[in-house]
Amino acid sequence: MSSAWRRFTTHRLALLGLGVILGFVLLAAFAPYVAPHDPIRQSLPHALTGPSRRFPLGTDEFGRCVLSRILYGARLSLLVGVIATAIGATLGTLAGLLAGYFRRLDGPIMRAMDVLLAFPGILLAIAVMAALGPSLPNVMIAVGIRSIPSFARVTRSMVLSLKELEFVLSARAVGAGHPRVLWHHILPNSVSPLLVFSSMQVATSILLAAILSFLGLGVQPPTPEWGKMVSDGRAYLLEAPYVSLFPGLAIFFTVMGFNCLGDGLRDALDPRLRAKAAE
Amino acid sequence: MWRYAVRRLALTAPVLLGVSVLVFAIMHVVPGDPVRLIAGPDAPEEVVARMRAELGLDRPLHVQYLSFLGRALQGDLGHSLRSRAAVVDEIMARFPATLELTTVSMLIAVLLGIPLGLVSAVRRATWVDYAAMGASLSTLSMPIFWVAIVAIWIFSLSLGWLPVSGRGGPVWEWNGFRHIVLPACTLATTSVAIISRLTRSGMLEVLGREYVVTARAKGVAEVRVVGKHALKNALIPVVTVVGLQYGFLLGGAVVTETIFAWPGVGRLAMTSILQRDYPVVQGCVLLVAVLFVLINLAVDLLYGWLDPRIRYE
Repeated sequence: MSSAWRRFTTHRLALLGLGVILGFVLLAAFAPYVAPHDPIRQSLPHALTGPSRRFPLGTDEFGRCVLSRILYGARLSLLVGVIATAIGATLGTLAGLLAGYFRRLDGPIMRAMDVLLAFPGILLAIAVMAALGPSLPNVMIAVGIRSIPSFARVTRSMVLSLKELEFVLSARAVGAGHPRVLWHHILPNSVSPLLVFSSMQVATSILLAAILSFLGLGVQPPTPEWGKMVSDGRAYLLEAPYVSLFPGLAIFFTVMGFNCLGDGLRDALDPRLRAKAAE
Repeated sequence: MWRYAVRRLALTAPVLLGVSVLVFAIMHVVPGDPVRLIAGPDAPEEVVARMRAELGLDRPLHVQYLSFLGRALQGDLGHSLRSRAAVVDEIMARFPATLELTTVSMLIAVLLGIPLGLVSAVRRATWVDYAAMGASLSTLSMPIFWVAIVAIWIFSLSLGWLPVSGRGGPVWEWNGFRHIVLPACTLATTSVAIISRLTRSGMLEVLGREYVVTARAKGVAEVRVVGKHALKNALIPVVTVVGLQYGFLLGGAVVTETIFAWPGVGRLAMTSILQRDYPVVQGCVLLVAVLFVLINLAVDLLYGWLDPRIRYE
């Protein structure tokens, strides 16, 4: 563990990613104290004013402070990214554990995963949103479903390689039941790849949730959401490009943060994965 | 090879069936009554009931699914709630535009991604490598719609070089070409990044192999070593990813087509979702998913042919 810790702390890109994420988490948590203005109250006299001392990143078409809306929007994006990933990770890991461990379940479960993988991720999320209707929990579900099969595949391959190892066989031999073997022996040893994969999935989930909002299928106004802010600013691109540009930058930095963190975790926890992931 | 192909084909059939079940299920958990939607909120109850019976929506779900599947296999995906036209016709009218957009994007991705990866691998750990790989890592973290908007802002609104949206005719005509540049480049960004990263890692792996060392040792020119001995082998994984990217481009087209008002299947799907025209949504989703599955199948077969080791897994 200590060598993994050392590998992580000497991985400059990973530390940078972690720093960016922590920064956004803190800003999101203390948004009411940090934000200079109310993110929702409109002030039409100040509509579409450029960056100034009073409005550091300018104002949108309703005179709302872009910076304040970005800060509050961070709450939503981080929350959606993490919870959607948690949904996908929980269901996907469960499916992968069962498929890898019980040979009889392998076929049916992995075929079901193939069906989910038969849709390009964006399309599946859009279809689910179309069916469920726009709301925050639905965004989390739609984005989360997409990552179930990938988590299942990662977990299954871990289980397949672990279940023939001596410590698992000996646990079976001394009479440990299947649930105990899965929970106490196989799952803990699959944590590293799952952690690496989760970090990258948070990045993808944030991007996907932003796409849904951008298309008008996500969180509804006036809630500040990054993807929606980019979309709303489109109409004023020529006179006030900052309305679209800055929220997009916020998405970019957050996603980049999680991608770098994932890279660093991968190199630190399992150097062998490095070659695999490059494939 | 034949045994491998047959086995792979046999795996595809249940997936396609599953896709049809899932698409049908998604479109039947839709909140609100589709019949009410067509008939309007003020229609009398008996009219609504009659329409429901006409549309077959009063039958049990599994019966509805089987009739949906039966008709879908005969190329009948129902009728649009808005235009009353056959869904298949609506989709086919727009499919060429989507095919054009995704194909041009794929060409851009390949023609840009492979040389980028190649140069990065050959000039490893120089500023060329760092710049190319930094750029592709950044690209993978950018939301595609934002890339599109920044591109519109710079090239259409500020510089006035390219049109903001729409399709201007076939791509080989000047006006058509001008219209496709922005949407195709935007759509290609993610694929360029993925293909260049993959080419680079493939090249780095192959360049260390013994046969490359041997080729160098016997005095083969560096250009030939890289171009013939190394690149050919490094490109095998790239070929499969190019195929997969084609499928993802079809998904990404929903976003790109919506932003650039590109008259393709993706935009049709989006407008139909917003208008709650569920038969059209269902048709579009089904079409893209089936195409995606078939592309995957083709990629696997191609891979098995290129790399015989795969067949014996």
